[in-house]
Amino acid sequence: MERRHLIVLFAVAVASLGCLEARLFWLQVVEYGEYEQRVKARRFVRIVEPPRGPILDRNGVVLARDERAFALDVSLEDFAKDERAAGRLAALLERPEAEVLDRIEGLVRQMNRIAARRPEREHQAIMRREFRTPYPLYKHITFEQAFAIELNPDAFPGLVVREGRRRYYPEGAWAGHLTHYLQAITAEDRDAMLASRAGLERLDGAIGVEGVDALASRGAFDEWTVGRGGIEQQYDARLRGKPGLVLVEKRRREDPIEVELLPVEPGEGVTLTIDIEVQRAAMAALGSSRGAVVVMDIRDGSVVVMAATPTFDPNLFIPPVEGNPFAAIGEGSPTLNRAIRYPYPPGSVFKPVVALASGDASRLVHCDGVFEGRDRNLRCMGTHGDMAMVEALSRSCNEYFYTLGAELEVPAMAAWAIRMGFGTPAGVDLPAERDGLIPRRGRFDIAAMFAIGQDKVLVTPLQVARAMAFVANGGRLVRPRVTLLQEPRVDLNPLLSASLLEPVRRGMISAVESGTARNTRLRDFRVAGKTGSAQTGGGRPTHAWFGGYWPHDDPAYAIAAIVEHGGHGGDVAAPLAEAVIRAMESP
Amino acid sequence: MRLREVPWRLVGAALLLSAIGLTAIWYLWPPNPSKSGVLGSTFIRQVIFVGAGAVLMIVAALPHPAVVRRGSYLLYFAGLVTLGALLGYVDPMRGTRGWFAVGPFTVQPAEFMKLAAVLALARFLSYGRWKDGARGFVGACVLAAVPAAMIVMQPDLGSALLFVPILLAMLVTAGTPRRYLIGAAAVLAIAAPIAFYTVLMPYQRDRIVAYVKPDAVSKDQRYQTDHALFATASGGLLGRGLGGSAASYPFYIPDRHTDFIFSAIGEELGFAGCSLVLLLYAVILYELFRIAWVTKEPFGRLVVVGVAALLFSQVMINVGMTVGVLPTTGLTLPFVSYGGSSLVTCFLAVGAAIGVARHKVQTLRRGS
Repeated sequence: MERRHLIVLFAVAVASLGCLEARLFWLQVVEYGEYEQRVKARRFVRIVEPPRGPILDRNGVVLARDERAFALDVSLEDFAKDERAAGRLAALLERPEAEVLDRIEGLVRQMNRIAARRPEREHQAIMRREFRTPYPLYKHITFEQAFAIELNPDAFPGLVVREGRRRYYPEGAWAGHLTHYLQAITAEDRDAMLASRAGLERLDGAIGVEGVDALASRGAFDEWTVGRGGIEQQYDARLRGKPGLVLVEKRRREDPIEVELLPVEPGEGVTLTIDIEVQRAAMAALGSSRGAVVVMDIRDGSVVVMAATPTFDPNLFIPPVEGNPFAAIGEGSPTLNRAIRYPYPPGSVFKPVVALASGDASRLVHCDGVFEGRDRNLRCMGTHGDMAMVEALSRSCNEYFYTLGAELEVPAMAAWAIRMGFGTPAGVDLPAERDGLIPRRGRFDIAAMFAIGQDKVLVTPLQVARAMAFVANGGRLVRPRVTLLQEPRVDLNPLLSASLLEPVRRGMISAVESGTARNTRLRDFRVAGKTGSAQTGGGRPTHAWFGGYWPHDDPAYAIAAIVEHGGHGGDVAAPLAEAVIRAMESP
Repeated sequence: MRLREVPWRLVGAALLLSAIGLTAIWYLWPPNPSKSGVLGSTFIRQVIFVGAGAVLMIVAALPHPAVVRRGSYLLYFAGLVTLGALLGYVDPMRGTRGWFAVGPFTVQPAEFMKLAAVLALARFLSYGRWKDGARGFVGACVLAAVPAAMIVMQPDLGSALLFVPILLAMLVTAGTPRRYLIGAAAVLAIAAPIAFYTVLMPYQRDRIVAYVKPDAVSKDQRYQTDHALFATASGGLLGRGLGGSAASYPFYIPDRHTDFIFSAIGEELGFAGCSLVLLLYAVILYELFRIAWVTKEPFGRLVVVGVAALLFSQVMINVGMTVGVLPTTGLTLPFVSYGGSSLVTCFLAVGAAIGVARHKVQTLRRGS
């Protein structure tokens, strides 16, 4: 090996370093002015909020969408120079001047917090920088106000109008429980999002984690809205989309240039399985009473109607919120979706469960109106004579079921109840579904009361619909869904045979034709069902229930209806169900 | 301990560069114990890395080059095994399989592999009649290509690219006939466009496209490089003063303390500061070549040349990227950037060169 090669290598290396040095000279000495200009130019990165996806019913009717709204940002350096600017702004927005000044003070406090994170010597430079940066001042101004500000920049220095969006629910209260509403993100949620970086990956990739955090400390995420309840919450990530980034560069005496740094990804829509027209009819049929109606497809669990009253208008909750919306929507917990969040005692609609548990359709029980329990006597609503299962279901004979219950005891019946989906949330894709309650122990009188759906049994209307579907589709437990996004799930119950189901079905058909639900036109639609009148104690009227499916020769849908303290199931709930079914079946 | 033989200027330049790096990191990320704990602070960690590096530099300088030579292939294969394990077993973090965690620290085997490859190549090319022939040439190429390929699969194009100048410099030093080198250059020229479309990942391709045709690439992909450039240029002659960079931006340039630390130096210390840094690297380069010049022993000479090529290429690529002369790669600036593996590797490399210097067989002077 020869040493002269080393000289060649060394020469190449030195020459390369020389080139770099020359380039540095060019950048930092010769072109310095140009770059200094660019750095001195005000440059900000702004987060662009994505448009939120719409919520549609099964036929494409819009239940929730965005509409245009305007927001106001302020760059304090220019705004503070004009003493009367705050007053003029307050006058335009028709707010007290003190409020405007208060908000400005809040922004300055925020800037001080940002500066406090860096060493003392940088504070001045940081405050100067923050004063130049636009901060959100008002989230909602009207089109006219935005127009006025844009047209008169001299009167409103340092104010920038930002076009944004606002959520609107065209169907209002009809679909209130389903859509629910949006709420401003809480500080905890925002901090949790920043800690986990969920949904921020694209932003982090573009301007770095520190960049995103810097934007966050400036309040970029404070105005974000998050779904609270219902579909808005359940599918919030999908509806929200992904934010984008815009780089705004403003050189002196020039118009600002906006460059898209990261494109926005609009939120995707969610289509429900609900049919809003039938939903409206169901709500109208419920009227001013409190209760719920659920209609469900028995094959894939798609919920066509989930009506609950009282209801509420979610538009009242969309910022800017005037006063306390909870005060405005009235009493009776209107935001509570009674179809899934309020467990009731089922009363006689529970009897099909016990019938399946017993499995003996031909067994005769003599009903004389009084069942002699161990500790006391229990009443039946009438004296029905010798009863087999079909008749007992049709006429809803209590004594028959007291007898069955005392023999089977609670654990055996509870097992069937659980098999049919009671006692656990049905798994619909809405938040906060309740599970109800199925006691697991009890004998003698307690078991007897259990058998007629009293004692401590609690169920939701959705669970009742699901149980009716179970009977209708041959013993399959379907998982209900309100959107097409949740995969249908059907569990085939292997223990069920046709011979077990047949008498229960016949009993329910009979109930509609000649039994407790005969005073309706339900038979016109070939409905099979069971009424219920659940005791609630305290001398108040019973809850009126009806649960069933139709058409009974080729079942397609299951229905459950309840009217709180409505009285007798056959008189109140069955006609309600009929009205809903009629609305469904009419073209 | 022949202290006179230790190239003190080399040690001094390396430590001075580390000090500059620490200063820049201090101002970029002041330690905030309340927020992330003492060990979480970037500055403190870099202090630990520099300390460890200096110690390891001394350790690497102790053994006689013959001892190092004997362990070369072992180190090389150990490196290959580690890289292979990374590719095979470790889940991608942040999209790459380039590092794994050891306690609170992360280790990047690719960095150490570079040095191990230098040692292995030095041993391979130092003795043997066939080294001047085709077998020597091809063997050396394979020796370099295998770890390079594994690193490309991580994917880490930047580190893999370093193997080219390292191999080239060592081949030239070893006396490879020119025709082989020209042939290799021709192969590379043909392979490069093919590799561009087949081997490179989309974002790596984008980086090169962004360099060649800036308008063809969307703004967010050029964000980092553009702003690093502005930052560097805006320092002017003397810079904004220490600490001047963090306050001027309402947002941060990602990776300012690692890949783009030169932009921070440019902004805070200006042309003067940048020139100082380049001067220090020139000093290191000079010292290394001086050692190579006076070392007669082939293995030692090759090691020093390899180390020089390793450090120098990395400096060129990193600074070139920051000033917009080269496309973006993920390479750090030796001794200055934050990063344990990189720092330790550089110190080990310098330590190996010092070892050669200390044990050198003096070349015979003419006439004595």
